[in-house]
Amino acid sequence: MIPAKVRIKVYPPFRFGVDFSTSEDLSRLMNELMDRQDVPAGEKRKYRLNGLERFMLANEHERVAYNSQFVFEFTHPVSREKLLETTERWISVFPPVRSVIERRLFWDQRFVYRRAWFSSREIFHFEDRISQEAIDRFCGRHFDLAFEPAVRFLLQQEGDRARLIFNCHHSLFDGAGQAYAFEIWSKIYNGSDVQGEVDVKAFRYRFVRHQMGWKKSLALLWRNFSLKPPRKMPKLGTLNDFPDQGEDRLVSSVTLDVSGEPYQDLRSQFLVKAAEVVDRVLAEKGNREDPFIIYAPAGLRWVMKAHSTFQNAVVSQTLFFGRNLPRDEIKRRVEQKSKGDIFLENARFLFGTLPLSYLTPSRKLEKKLRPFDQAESPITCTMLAVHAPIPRAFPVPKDWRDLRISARGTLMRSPCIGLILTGQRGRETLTIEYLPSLVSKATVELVMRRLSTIPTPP
Amino acid sequence: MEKETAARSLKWIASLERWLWPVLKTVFRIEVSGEHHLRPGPALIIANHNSGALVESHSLLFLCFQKGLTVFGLNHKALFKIPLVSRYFRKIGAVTASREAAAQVLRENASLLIFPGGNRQALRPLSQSHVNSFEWAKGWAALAVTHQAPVVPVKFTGTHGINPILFSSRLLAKILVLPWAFGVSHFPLSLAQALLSLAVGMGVMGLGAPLWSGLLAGYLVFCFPPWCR
Repeated sequence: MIPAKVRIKVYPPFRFGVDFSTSEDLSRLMNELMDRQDVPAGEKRKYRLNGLERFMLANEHERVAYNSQFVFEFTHPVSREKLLETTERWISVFPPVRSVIERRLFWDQRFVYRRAWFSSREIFHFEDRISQEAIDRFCGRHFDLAFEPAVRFLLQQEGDRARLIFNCHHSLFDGAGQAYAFEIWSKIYNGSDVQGEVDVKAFRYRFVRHQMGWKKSLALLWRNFSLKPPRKMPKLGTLNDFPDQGEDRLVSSVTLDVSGEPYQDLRSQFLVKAAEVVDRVLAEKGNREDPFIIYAPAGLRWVMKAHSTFQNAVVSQTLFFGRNLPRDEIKRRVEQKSKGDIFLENARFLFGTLPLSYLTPSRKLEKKLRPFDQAESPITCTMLAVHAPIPRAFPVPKDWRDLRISARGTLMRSPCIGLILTGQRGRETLTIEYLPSLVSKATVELVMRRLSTIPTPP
Repeated sequence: MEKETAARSLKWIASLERWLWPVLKTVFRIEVSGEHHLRPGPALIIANHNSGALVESHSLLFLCFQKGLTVFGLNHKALFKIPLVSRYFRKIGAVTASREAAAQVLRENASLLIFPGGNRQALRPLSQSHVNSFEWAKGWAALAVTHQAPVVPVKFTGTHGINPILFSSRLLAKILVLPWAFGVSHFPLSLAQALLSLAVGMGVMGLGAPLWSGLLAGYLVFCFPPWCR
């Protein structure tokens, strides 16, 4: 007996009347499937995992899934064949989709395979009715990163209404990467010719050194190449609900439609306005039982940023303010914060896009974060404000009408409120994410009311 | 038929799952994907067969148990003629391979695990290990159509390396008089089989038995294992 490595793959069922009606059909389907090469094999190249991605892999378990979704809603049917055809082409030109993460004894390693071992039918799921429950189930299902691509689509169609969910694992894409991946998909859908493989840039150490200085870069190199297993980090919450797993794991969200004239101001000055609103709301509440926004001292700010910013440095900003700050002061600080992101404005990274977390030694981070995570009553509130030029502007298929885009993401376990403004110009949505066990519903409702007459959703 | 499904013991399966599954998972570094497709209810679970057949059947049994499925496996009737082995397999949900047994299982709202490739597929040589299809087997498909049951395909990869079949020979079968003695036309040779027969033959002689008895024991062991699997 040789202890060979065994893989078991369970496929979606073939159904009588849908996939087969005669035994010959079934036999042919089954034999085709059995003889297909459908485990990652062949030529592959290495794609380095960064600290954040390792962090996610080390902390993901049956209760926590670092999945992230874009939800597209539109009011016309789409052709399944075209979607499958587009996805098939996308798989062949977009290398990250063909990546797997091999789990090693001391560290995990990511590889991108030259040829796909799966077809579009395996990552594209269809349903004939629109159901939020099905979407939640779809979004919460774990990715098996050693086997399958870390991307899935779900199309729900009912009459003239359709919902497309683009779901991916955060170890593959961050917010910007996800938008970029969908941009390529849309180009193919629109009929643009994508020649050869799309060039994907990985985050280089050189770039980190440029940004963070050579000392920290060396420290990073030392840490990455040491043989220590990854340290346990504070537990995280996710947006993907597992209702029977205890409420501290749940992240709830409210998505609001902020398109139209009344929200012009909000859209154009999102960061300033959102920061001001949250600051005022928490000041109004006026007790330390509820979270409030703090102005973090300079020495602590990087920790807080690493703690709360889970999206891309390109598209995220975490803001900390004192109570009752004048608007000009808030504006000035927002502008100051934005300066650091200017050089990243046109960058498109799929991997390694969060240098600050990347460079944070895990022990130090854990020590610094412990008071925040273990406090009996929440003492801080950080705000993750994602104001994303790339997700807001990324192209979608031309013939999709009345499009509404919203995002679902992942939040750290902290008493924070996540605000994600996304969508196409004129059809934006604002998603407020929070952990109900750490942030009271009243706080969220107050934020919503303050955000310039945004109506309460039904 | 009533007896066949009634012999299944959930306690046995739970106990096996507790002790054997971690061992299998560790030794064979088992990776599972798509297990969410295993859902309770009448269905045919169809899998390819390799030389590591026991690892395959047991790991699938444990996966189904974890997912809350009641699953019965179709087995060759020869298996049920061996007393202790028969009892063990009955306890974990084996039923005789017949249309009646299959119909009974599906009527009971349980799933049916079938390896249509059977021994012919399990004993294919290592050079053919990538060929997982079973064109010659049609009965399972007819069963699915008759009962209009969903079919869940399962593919095992790597189990053929557990006990590699080096080659399958018609000539060797004739040399070993297998076609006349056992009615077998092809003889597969696996590494474990060769080593085991050598060990048994030498062991018998080591106990002071005459040379012919050692050779006979070695011969029987050499011929026996492929069909036992």
